[in-house]
Amino acid sequence: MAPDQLSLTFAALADPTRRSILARLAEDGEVTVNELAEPFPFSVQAVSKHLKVLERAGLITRGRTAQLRPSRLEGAPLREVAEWLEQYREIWEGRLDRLAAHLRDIQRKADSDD
Amino acid sequence: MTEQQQYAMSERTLVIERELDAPRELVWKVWTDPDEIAKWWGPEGFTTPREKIDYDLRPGGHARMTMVGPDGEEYPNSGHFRVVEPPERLSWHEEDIEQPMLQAVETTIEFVDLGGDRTKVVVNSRMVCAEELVEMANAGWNSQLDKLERLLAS
Repeated sequence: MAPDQLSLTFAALADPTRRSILARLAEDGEVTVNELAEPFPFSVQAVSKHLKVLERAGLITRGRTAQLRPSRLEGAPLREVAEWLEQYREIWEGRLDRLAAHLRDIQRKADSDD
Repeated sequence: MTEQQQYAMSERTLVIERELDAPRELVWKVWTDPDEIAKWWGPEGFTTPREKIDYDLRPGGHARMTMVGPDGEEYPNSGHFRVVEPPERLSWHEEDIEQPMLQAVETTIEFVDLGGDRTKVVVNSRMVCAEELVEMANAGWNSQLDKLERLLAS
């Protein structure tokens, strides 16, 4: 997953309401926006906004045919989050590559200044 | 496969080692001086502008920096130094991590003098994952399997 896609996923997961929406979808499969809004003290419109964020992050897909457009959990991005440790390793390896290059640069510069 | 076992873990440690052709004092300086950090910290495609690095380099002192992504979006990091022992050991703890998968990260860097102006750095990063999300990732995986099952059945 590209770093900005990963941040999109993390940003989508940062909100507790969105996490509970995902937990509900994990449990019940396909759920309509009205059903999703029921346990919350806010409007269907507010839940729709959350669904848009989740959809943009690829965490859910929504039915195209029915007007109710039931939502469904998509597993792949969540699994990539669970595999984040590997991505963290890649970030560190890249960082150490650049550290090594920077150390070479400044030592070469120091040599030529002598 | 042992997917379930793998994701049931709530704490993980990442260890990375690298040998560098530079004396230890220099590696320490480049790692802890904001003027130098701005030139390499990254990650790839990201920058860490000098004015966005705010270090109070002592045990308990704050460590704040903001990385800027390729699209200009900012990614702030905030934490505190735990161990500051120049030029041998540095550790810090990150808090308020917006990424909910990770509740805390503690990173320790050891700078080992190999002699002959060479230094080994050992990065040790401990992460605590939110169980809630680990469970959801598993549920997500199950939903993928359900899809596969439906596809095979059709």
